Amino acid sequence: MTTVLRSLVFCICISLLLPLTVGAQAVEKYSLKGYIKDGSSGETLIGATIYISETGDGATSNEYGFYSITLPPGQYTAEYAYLGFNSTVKKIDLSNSVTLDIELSEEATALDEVVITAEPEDENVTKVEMSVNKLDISTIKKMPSLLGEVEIIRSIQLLPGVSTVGEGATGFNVRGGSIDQNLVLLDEAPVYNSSHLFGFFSVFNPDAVKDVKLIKGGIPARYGGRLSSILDVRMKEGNNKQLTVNGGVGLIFSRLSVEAPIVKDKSSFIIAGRRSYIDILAKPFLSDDLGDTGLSFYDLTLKTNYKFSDKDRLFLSGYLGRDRFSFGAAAGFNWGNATSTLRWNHLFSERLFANLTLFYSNYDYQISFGEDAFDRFDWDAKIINYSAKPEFTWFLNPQNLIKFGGQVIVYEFQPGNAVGVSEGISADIGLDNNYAIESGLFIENEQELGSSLSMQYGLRLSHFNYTGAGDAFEIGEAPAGQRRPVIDTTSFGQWESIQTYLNLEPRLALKYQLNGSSSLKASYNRTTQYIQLVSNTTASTPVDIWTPATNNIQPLLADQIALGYFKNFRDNTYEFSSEVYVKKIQNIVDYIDGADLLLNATLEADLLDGENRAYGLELMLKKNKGDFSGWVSYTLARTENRIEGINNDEWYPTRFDQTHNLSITAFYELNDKWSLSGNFAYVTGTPTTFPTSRYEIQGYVVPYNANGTRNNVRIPDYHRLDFGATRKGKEIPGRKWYGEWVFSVYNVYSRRNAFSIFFSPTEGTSGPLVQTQANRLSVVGNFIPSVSYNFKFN
Amino acid sequence: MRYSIYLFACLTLLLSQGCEDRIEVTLDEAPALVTVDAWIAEIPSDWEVKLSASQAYFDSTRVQGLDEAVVTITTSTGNVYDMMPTDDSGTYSVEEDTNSFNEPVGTTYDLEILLNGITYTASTTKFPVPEIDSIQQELRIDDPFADDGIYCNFFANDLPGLGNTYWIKTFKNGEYLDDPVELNIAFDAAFGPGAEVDGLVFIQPVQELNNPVDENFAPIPWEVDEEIRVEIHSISNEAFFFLEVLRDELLNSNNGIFATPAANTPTNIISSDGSAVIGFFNVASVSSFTDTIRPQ
Repeated sequence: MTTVLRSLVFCICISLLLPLTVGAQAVEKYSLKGYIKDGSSGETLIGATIYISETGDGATSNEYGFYSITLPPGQYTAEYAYLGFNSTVKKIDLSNSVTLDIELSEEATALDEVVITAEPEDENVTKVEMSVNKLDISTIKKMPSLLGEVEIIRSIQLLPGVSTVGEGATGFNVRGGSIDQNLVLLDEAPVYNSSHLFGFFSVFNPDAVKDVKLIKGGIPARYGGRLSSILDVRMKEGNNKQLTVNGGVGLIFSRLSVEAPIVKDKSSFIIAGRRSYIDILAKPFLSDDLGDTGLSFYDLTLKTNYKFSDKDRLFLSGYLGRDRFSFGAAAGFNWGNATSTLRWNHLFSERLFANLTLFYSNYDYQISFGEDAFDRFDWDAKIINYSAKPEFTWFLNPQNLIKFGGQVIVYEFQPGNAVGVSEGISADIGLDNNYAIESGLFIENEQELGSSLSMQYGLRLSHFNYTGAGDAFEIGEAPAGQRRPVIDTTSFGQWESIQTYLNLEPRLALKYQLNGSSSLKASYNRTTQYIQLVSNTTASTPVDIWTPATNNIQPLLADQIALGYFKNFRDNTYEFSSEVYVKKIQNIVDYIDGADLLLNATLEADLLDGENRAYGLELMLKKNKGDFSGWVSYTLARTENRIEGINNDEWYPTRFDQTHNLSITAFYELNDKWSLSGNFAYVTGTPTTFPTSRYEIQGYVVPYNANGTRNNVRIPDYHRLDFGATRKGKEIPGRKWYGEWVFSVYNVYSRRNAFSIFFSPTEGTSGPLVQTQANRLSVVGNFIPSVSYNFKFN
Repeated sequence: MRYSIYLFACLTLLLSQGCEDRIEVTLDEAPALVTVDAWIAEIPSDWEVKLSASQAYFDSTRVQGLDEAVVTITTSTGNVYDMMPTDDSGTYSVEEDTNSFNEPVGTTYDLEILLNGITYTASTTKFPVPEIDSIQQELRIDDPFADDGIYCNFFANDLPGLGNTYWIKTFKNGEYLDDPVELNIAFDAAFGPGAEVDGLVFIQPVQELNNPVDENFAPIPWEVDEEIRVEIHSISNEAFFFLEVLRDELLNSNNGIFATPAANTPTNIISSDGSAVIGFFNVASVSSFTDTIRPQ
């Protein structure tokens, strides 16, 4: 591996130098630059394209809607395009550098209009990036959903390579990676728990989301910190043309968002909130004992921006969400995320775009029990981080797009503050905080080498410093699978380094254009992950804590290779993609049987380490145009762990391994009033561990797996069909109100899909003759109809 | 930690009510393993070792006792006790009047079992226990977790020194409260290692777990004139860990979508031929406190 690494580094250095020398020799050139925006709301468009007919050169707008293309002086025809928008053609006289902000208008009936240029529609074939799925928020909104709530995380689970351990489980698994291997970003701030109500709903308010992008492989060097994927969620900036109010009334949430200009064309804001009323609805069904039970969740998303000049723009965004359960006045449990991001876009020159991001992110939970101050138990935990992230985009020439920058993240882990008070005597059973600093430097280049070959290559250098204040443990040896002894403890002062790690992460992606409609792509990436979620339950719980790499916990390292074939046909009406991938992960952790994961100061002694391997084939056929659209996605995959002390040290499938995963999503525009949608999912049952035997000790009848196997059987296959229908309101010119009704049926044929199989004594039997049985747990046991109403006012 | 699991169980129940049903599954076959149930305590009724064979999980016939073994316990004080079969159920015991079986704290006990040509051995130490000061009875009204009625809390202080482990048993009118939820174990004054609560009064979740509970984990109030007896048994750290895994396995079925992977209980029994064996050997000191429930 080191040889491969060295040659890669060499290649990258050479390639980076190459464009610089070319640049130095070139004749004088000028830049065409600006922002590409949605004409109706002023929102910038991410990934819009500009295409110069005369030269065949092109560029794409970045995450802030900015584009820049450098050309020799001359007359040009520039075509600006974005899917679902009318393209615009501009004549450009490039005798000097030109700044041109473009506003594109939404297509009236987006799906059956003739599109002027085909450029943006085949970007899945022409762009160098692979293993990337973008979901338009308008597409997500059209999908049938559980209880009528538009759901981002559940929607991406219908994409190839994405799976979940079961219905209602938090998070998602990408290409065999666990849920903590996904970097979930909301306006660049990481979100540590992306779910409300465990995993039923995600924390993202669809009214405030502009763009969702999932990167599963070929991860560019600018992203770091997680192994398996990046889910990049970008929030809307707020309509800077006019006041717009969006809202909805559903069975679970009510939503309201307001967006408006503050200073026209300079500043705007969006504020969006949701609150559940499950507590109010559930009240009549709760027994008297639980009458005081409160169960609610809410989130609030806020964003504002200010354009100081053509060169400087500032964005401030924030998210605050909480789930709350209370049991009378005495006890409660709540958890939530808070994030805030401040970003400053600055144009140093026509070709150098810079963004500085500062963010704060916090995930915490609190649990309390007890009658009064003399008898109670209070417990909370947190992960807090602060980060600074400067990034530069250098539009060197049409053939080279260079990005470079860095990031520093300061972590504070509070793995558990807990105090038990008995009769006024207080016992602190909390854990010490942990601290760490993660930093990274990156450089990457997207380069076109001739007309057929393009590549994106980069390097990321990451560093992790696990620091005090705190105790570092030296852990001894024990037989495989057993708790290891703590031999020695050393105390460290604040910010005193306990352990450091340095890793070089090469990233490479290649595209070879076979012809106008098909391409071959390949990618390799190494990713490093320095923090992980400590969890050994089937679905992750809100009380799971994040832990840093320490002197005993090694950082996770992953290497992934992916190959793909991409083809569009019938004038880009259909998109087909096929990819194969192989991923290997080192240093994954698992836990000894009976490990204490919470409030355990010496958790490290309960950890086992091992490796993971994942491989698979992903196929996707998508129809983009016409009244009938949608996609079919199929994944054939395997993900396995080998951990000393588990499954007799043999490879075993992970709990979320799914051999076959098929999903079909379809949309049909019936007429002006009605649009229909449907989902079908079929997934191989996930593996689980069944006992073989039972034994009796001290009167307890206990299950036992005498073969010592892990995940030795699979639960029954999962399949489900959902339908949705939207009755659209009439859009009458001059009328400010627009409303639509959304109907959906989830799990149409009422299949009781197993989430898990568990074993228990049969009710009414006890003692030595107790009968034992297997039970199926279904999270959704019936079909679930729903209706919701959405409105827009402007 | 235990509380959070009950909490999730409640919530999962709330979310998925009516979505559990019995199904038929096929399990892998496995050999029957020798099971050693050797929890000796300073109470004559606990001077027993039971030997049995594990059976297929769905086999609900009476457990098969292994009654052809030779069972001996040797102490570091130099005594050798022959445990004799009491009947054909696989139970081995010493005479009830063998008072010297209760050796002082700190004594090492070695168990040896000879069965079908294989020798099974285990060794443990007898640790001390703290006295129970009192059992507090209180009337609780409008508690969201419990019906109105009388509930008890026992009061005792963990012994000084880190790493004392206890099994706290509660008896209602002489009947051991044997629901897995009622299985109450403590590591120092709290419920797990690593917490610095040495020498303190047992913390709230521990001292409260001496109330009976129903199938929904809700505590059941005591009735006036009922007898409550609380016993603290000293156990080794390994025995604590054994009981912790045992309890987790028995309660895991309540955890719904938050279940942990099935785990096997550890053992301190070693077989001479390296074959797998199940069970545990512990010798406990015992302190106890008995009270009668009074009107509050």
